[in-house]
Amino acid sequence: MIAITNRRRTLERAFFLYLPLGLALFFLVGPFYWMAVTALKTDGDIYDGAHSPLYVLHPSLDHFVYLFAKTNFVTWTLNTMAVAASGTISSLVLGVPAGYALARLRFPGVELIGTAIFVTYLVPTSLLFIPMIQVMANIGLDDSIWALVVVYPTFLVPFVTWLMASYFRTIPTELEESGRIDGLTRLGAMWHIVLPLARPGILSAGIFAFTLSWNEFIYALTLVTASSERTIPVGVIVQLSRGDFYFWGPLMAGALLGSVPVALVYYFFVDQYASGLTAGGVKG
Amino acid sequence: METKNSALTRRRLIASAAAVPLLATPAIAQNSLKGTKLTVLVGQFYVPETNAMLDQLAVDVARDTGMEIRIERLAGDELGTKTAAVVGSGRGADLSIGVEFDTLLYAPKLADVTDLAEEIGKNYGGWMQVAKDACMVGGRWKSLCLGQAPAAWNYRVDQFAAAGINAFPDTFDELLKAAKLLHAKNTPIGMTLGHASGDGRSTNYPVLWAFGGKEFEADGKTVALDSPQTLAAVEWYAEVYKYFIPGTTAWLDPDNNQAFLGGKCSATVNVNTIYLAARAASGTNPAMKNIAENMNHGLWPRGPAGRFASYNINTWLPFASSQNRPGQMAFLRAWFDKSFLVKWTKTGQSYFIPTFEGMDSLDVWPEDPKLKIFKDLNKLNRLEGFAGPPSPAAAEAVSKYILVDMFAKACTGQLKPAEAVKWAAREYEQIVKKRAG
Repeated sequence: MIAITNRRRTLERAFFLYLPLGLALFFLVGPFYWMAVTALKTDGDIYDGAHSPLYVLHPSLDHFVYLFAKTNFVTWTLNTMAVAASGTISSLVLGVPAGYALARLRFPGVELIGTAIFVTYLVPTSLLFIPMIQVMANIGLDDSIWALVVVYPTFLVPFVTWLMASYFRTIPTELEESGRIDGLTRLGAMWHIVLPLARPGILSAGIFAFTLSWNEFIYALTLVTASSERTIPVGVIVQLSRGDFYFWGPLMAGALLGSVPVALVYYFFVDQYASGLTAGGVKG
Repeated sequence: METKNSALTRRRLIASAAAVPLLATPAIAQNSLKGTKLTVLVGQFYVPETNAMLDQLAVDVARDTGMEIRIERLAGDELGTKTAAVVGSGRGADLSIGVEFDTLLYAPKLADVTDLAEEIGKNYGGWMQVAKDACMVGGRWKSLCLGQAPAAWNYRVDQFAAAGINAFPDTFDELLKAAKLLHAKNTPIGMTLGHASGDGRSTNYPVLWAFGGKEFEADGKTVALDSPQTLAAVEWYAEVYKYFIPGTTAWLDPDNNQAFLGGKCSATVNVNTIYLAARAASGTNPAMKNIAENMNHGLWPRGPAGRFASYNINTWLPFASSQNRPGQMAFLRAWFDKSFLVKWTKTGQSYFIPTFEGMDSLDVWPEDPKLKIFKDLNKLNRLEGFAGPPSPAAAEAVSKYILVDMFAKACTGQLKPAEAVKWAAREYEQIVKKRAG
C-alpha cells in the first residue's frame, strides 16, 4: 500500500513538476544553448552537415575575437547600456508618481486619463516611428543617440504608470491614512510608507522597462544612422550579414553577449524583488 | 545649432548648381560644395573589397568637392525600413540604395534625374530594359539603376555525375528527371518556397514565366494568372517538390546557402555568394574547398515559353527632400564614371552587375571560369508584374509572397494545383480591386 502511494507520488511529481519544468527549461534555455554552441563552433563545424548541430566538435573563441576586433560591439554595448539606463530611470522617475496619482488622487477625468495612458502604450512603434522622426528633427535630435534617450520614455512611462497604478491599488490606504494622522504630509506618506511597500512593483517595472529598451529595434534603427551610435540589436544584424550571407558565429556570439546584462539585471534584482514581496503587507 | 539647411546658402547653391555640369569625375570643380553634407545609406555588398571601394569613392568625392560625405551601412531588410523612414519623414539621408519597386512606390519623394540618366546611359551603350522598368516613372528617371544580382542554378557537378547527369538540365522535364535521380542517391535538390525577400522571388517567378504564365495582361490591370500555363507550372512544381530536401517551404534567404554549404543539397537557385563563400574559405576549410572545386553554375532551364530569370535589382534613390541636390549629382556622376564603375564591377565578381547594354565589351567580367556564365545570366532578367508594366499591384503581390505561396500550397498538398492557381488569382484580383477603389 505504501509502495503504491510512493509510486503514485513519484508519477505525480514527474507529470506535474518535472515535465513542465523540463519543458520550460527547454524553451527558455534552448535558445541560449543554441547561441552558445554556434558561437563556440568553427565556421567549418557550423556548416558541417554530417554531425549533430547540438554539440561542439572543435571549440573555438574565434567568433568572439572577431566580434570584439572587427566590429563596434563594445561601442554598441555602451550605447545600449546608456539608453536603457536613461530610459529606465526617467520612466521610473515620471511613471511612479504618475501611477500613484492615478491610484490615490481623486480628480475629474482620472479614469479617462488612466485609460488614455494605457492606450498610448498599446500604439505600435511601427505606426509611430515616422512621425517620431519628424518630431526629433524639429527639436534638433535627428540622427543622434539622444533621440533614443528622449523617445524611449514615450512608451516606457505609460507602461510604468499603468503597472504602478495597479500596484499602488493593492496597498491598503489605511496604512497611508494612519501615517497622515501621525502628521505626515501626502508626499511624506508616499515617500515613507507607500514607496517602501511598493518596492517589488517598482523593481518589476524597472526590470521590464530596462528589458524593453535594451531590446528595442525599430526606433534604434530608424532614428539613428551613424554606426558609432547604434545599439546592439541593430549593430549586430547590420554589421554581421552581407547580402544573403550571415556570419552565424559572430552573430550568435553577439546575441549571447548582448543578453548577458539583461540576465544579470534579472539575477540581481529578482532576489530583492522576492525579499520585497515578503517584507510588504499588513500585519493583522 | 547648425543644421544641414543652414550649411547651404542661396549663393552656394547657385554656385554649386552651375558647377554640376563640370562634375563629371574626375573633372569635379574643386571645393564647389564646401560646407555641405551628404548622407548616403547603403547595404553591405557581399565582396568586402567593393564596400571599401565605395568608402574610398566617398573620400575622393569629398576631397574634390569639399562636401562632407557620410556612408552608413545597413543590412538588406533594415535598409528598406530606414529608406521608408527617410521617405516618410524627409529626414536622415540624401541618397539611398533601393530595390525593384522602390522607385515606383516612392516616386513623388524622389528627385528627377532624367538628364543625368540619359548622359550616363550614352556612355555605356544605353540602359537595359529592366533598368528602365525599375527606374522610370511616367517617362522620367526617378532613380538610377545600380545593378542586378543574377541568380543562377548552383549545383554540385560531382553529385550530378554520380547520379548519371553530365550537364545541368536544359529543360524543365530534364530538371525533374535529374531531381528524381539525385533524390535516389540521397543528394536532393532544393528550391526556396519560404517568404525569403530575395530568393523567394528569384526562385519562383522564372518557373511561372518559363511555362508561359503571367500575372497581368499588358495593360497591367487585368489579372491573367488563372491560365493553363500557370497550372502547368504549378503541376511541374508539385511534382518536383516530391524530390526536394525537406524544409524548403520554410527557407529564408540564408537557408539554401546553409544547406548547400553543409553538403545537404545538390542544387539550388542563388546568387554567387555560395561559391564565393566556399572559395574564400578554401584555404582553411577542406570541406569548403571540396564544395568550391566540385560546384558550378547553370542557367535556368528552358520552358515552353523560353528561359527567364528574376533578380534583385538595386537602385540609387535620390531623395527630393535632400538639401544638397548638387552633392547628390556629384556623387552619382562619380559612381557611374567608368574609371570607378568598371573596376568596382570586376572586383565584385559578378555579384552585382550594372544594367547597361554595353556591358559585354567592358572589362568587368571575372576571370574565374565558374563565374563566366554570369555574363549570359545578366541578360535574362525580367521584372515582376509581367506582362504588364511594373505597378503597385505587382509590388504588393511580391510583398505578400502570393506567387510563392501558390506554389507552396500546391507542393505541400494544402491545395490541389488548380485550386492553388485559383486562390492566387483571387488574391491578385483583390489587390487590383482595392487599388482601383
